[in-house]
Amino acid sequence: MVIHDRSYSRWKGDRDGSVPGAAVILQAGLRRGVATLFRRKIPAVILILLAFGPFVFAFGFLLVRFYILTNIGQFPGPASALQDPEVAAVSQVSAENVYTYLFLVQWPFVMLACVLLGSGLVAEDKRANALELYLSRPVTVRQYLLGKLGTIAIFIAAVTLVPTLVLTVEQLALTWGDFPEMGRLLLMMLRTMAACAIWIAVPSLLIVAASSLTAKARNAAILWMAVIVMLEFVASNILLEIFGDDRFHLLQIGWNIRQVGAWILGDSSADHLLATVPVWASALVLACWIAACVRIMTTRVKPVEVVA
Amino acid sequence: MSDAPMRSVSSAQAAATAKAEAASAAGPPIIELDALSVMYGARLALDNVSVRVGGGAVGLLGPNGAGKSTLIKTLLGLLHASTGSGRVLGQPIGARDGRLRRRIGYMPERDAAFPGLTGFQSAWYAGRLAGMPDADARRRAHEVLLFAGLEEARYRDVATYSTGMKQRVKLAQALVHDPDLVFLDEPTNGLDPEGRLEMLDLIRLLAREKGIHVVLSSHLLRDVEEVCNSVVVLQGGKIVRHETLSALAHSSPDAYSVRIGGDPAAFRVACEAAGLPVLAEKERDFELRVPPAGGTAAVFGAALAAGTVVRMLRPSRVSLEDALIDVLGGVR
Repeated sequence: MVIHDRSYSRWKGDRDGSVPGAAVILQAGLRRGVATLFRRKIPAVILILLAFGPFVFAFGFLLVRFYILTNIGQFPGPASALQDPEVAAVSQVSAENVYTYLFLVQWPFVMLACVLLGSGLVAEDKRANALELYLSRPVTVRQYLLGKLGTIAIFIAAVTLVPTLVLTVEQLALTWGDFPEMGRLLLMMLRTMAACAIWIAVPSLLIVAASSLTAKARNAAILWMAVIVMLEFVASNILLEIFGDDRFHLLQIGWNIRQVGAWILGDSSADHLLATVPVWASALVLACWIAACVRIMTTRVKPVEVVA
Repeated sequence: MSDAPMRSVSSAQAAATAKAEAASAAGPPIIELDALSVMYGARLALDNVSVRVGGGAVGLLGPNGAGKSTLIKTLLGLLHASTGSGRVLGQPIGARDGRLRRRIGYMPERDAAFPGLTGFQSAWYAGRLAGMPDADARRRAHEVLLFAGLEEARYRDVATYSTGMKQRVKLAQALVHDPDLVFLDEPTNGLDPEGRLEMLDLIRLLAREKGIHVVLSSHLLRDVEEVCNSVVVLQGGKIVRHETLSALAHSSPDAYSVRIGGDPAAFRVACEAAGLPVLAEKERDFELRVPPAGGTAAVFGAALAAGTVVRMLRPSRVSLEDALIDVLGGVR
């Protein structure tokens, strides 16, 4: 007796609806990224603790500070210490703190996310000849790239934008009723999102472009690191030393991102950054990098490699 | 590895199959090309190709570099036509709305897999990319993997599969969204004889009983012969022949195969004396051209004259291989 029809059956589902190709690729990319991260559990846990340690500390500190300041009678000593202007400045969501957290504390984790999770996004598909499989389905090159960019962007956002917004929302909740402060925090949320858009977009585009240039994730990571390190630390510093011209800062991708980010956040402590070269020049350099990355990706991601 | 589908079919099934084949071949064309040319780098890979291909199982034949894979990739919209136009399943090739690609499946020639996924995940992912809802993609992934004979290995990483299993998972990916037309580029590449037969059985089942049009590109004539009902022969980027398999591998009207008992040399001399050209000879087997006027009596006469006996006499059948050599040789 046949207990299961092993034969082929026809599918009667809808064939005319739109295909959310980018979303499907993004979903699969996130799963794969998490699996990659947790392939070695202990380093993954250590990395996550390090990446979210400052955030957890700040989150807890805001709560403790709030509790102590609302119960001054019970904690007179700590309360007076927390009311010190310097301590107060360190423990609130301000442009300076957000800048420090996003661009100085978290940058190693942005780098690690790009190297560990972004370098193989396209390269591994190329190596496995999967581009033919993707693009022979109702998925366009644009959808494919959006899915891949979205994947790395979400991992970068998880260590930059998300903790910052959570802290801002926490402080917003703790200052409920103080309308000037709430207004400042809402504006800070918008500025944070705009600054993070740059901080997420540029490294994501760079790593996906590097990944699309090769069929090996390792090579993509090396290429990406080489470009960043060469421009960030070597070329610009040597040229700056020799010629003493601040305009060589424009060669530094990270410096351009920090300058534009500081400008967006309105961070007065970063005036030294803003004083060197005009912000529009840095923005223009970043726009050129973005255009170059888009060009590389769209020319290198093809279903068929045509060798002339 | 799992069992293949049953190979033997009953006579009733065979009749139904023949009817289905005839119906699909008589239906609207699945591929229409009008003066299509494709440049592959600096090389003209397809040169002014015009053809209307009916449904059923169609074989793409031709030597290496003839343009078979290029034609498939162009039909899929992976390569763009330099000039000309084409339609697949009535829709223009290279259309951007994806409607056509939801109706076609593709099994590429070379090893291709979504990296880091198991067999089940690969088929499910392929279904999702083809626009299937998640639940349907999961159910269909299990079904097609079962159909392809990968039920036991479906939770293993595809990277650990043998060549035959990789071919099967490629077939499953091509079928998961239940296409109306499936392009199979060298599907038996790298398979052992048993695996090859199993793969051909699956393809035959799709084409003959499930109503799925199949375009099978292969340089193995036996594969095409066993599965397809028509062939398109490509040579140097041009279509040099398009007809049914039975017409291409036709019976030659004036050629006969003869097996004799006795002295082959004497028989040869007698045949030549009787005006029967010997086309080929191997031990006691002869291939003779028999003029229609005299009929086969001349063969028996020659045998009698040579003191030999005729043990077998039948019209000579031109194999697909011979026909293809003729076609390609004629083009050269």
